[in-house]
Amino acid sequence: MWDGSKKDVPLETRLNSLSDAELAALSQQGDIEAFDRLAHRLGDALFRFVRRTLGNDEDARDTCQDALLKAYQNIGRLRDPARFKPWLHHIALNLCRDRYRAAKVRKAESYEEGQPNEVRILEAAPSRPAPDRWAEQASLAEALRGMLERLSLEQRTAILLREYQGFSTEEIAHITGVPAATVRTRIFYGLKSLRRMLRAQGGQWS
Amino acid sequence: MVMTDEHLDPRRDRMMAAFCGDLSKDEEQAFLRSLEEDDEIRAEWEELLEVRSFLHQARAEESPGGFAFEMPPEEAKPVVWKRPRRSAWSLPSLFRSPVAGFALGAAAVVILLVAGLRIDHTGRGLLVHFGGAEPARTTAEGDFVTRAEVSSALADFGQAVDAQLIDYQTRSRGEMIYAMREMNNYLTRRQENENLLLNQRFQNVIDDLFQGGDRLVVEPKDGSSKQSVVPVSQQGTDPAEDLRHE
Repeated sequence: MWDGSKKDVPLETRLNSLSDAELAALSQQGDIEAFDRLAHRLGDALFRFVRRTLGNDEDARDTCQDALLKAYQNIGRLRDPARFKPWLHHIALNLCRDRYRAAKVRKAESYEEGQPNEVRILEAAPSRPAPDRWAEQASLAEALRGMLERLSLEQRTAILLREYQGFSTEEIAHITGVPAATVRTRIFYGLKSLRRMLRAQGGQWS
Repeated sequence: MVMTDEHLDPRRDRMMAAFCGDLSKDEEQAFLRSLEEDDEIRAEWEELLEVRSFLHQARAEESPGGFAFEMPPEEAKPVVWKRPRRSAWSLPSLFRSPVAGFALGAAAVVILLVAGLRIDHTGRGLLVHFGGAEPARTTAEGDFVTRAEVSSALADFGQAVDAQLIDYQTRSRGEMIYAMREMNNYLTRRQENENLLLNQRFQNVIDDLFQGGDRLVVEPKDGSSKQSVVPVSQQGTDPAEDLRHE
């Protein structure tokens, strides 16, 4: 545990030497510097997760900022400081769900209000490049983004949390609020869908 | 796209447990050995590994995050920080709760009454004694509780009660502020949704009104009598959009 008596060590160095759980515990006692360090430590990874979930940088930045702000305001409610990272992802995921729902509502309204041209553009939004455009994809990352967008939010989230954020099945179950077996099911069908998309796009990427 | 959340059959569930690293080392070895006898699962397993390989290859090409968290201003500091845990049976901690404090006080009064506490008023003050025994007839000052002592004790008791109430009110106020913020956020979101619906209705009304080249009379907001007539064709392409920006 952190020893507050080490006054001769610079604050920056002292905070850097602490684990996430220790920083979270200090944050619970009102140490803003500790929370700031925690936010900078986890912010980038959280941002990548949210960006892959939502599909665009701008929304992802806003969502991350909101998630960290919510965590900051409610950290007193976190029972186990060691679970700060899954808890933060849980908050971010809920915000992603809100945005996802709002986007769906906007899309439905635009569909009702819009001109025929707009409707076609909106329908084409989840990019599905034709096989001959596959080679023109700027990068694998863009291809991945396009394919992830076509998965359901649940499957996408489960895959991202497992493969990129490194959470265990139990932790994903905790974050998403479903049983572990359901998490495995979502990952399985999500990966199967990705496999089908890869085959449809030409199969080889390496 | 398969949207089901139904659980997988035992073979595939075990495969996914191995894929997600949920199995022990022995279980994982046993699973890998079982693949030699199960062509169907082996094929699926290899596909999963192939997709995983793609995911990680694509990840390596992805641009870095570049996210910088902005610390909120001081006034946004949390209202409720975690309260230190109280040990279960510490007496001072019990008195921090008004309910527990009053309960203990009431219990003490009951015990004293059961024990036979009697308080008699005499010409020189209050005489406190237990049981039915006749109080000692003495004029010594020390045997009596004087009015000043009773007043002082009552004042102390009053201060203690006040302190408890103030402490309780302070904490309640903090939680109330938080609840009100949450309520405010909720109402804001609801208002936004209602605005969207309202705009949609406006759109319908406008569509109904201006069919066939009718003109829209725009009345200035400053109350002047000047009016302008704008042909429908020269208005914004989406009147509802304009309303939304207002």
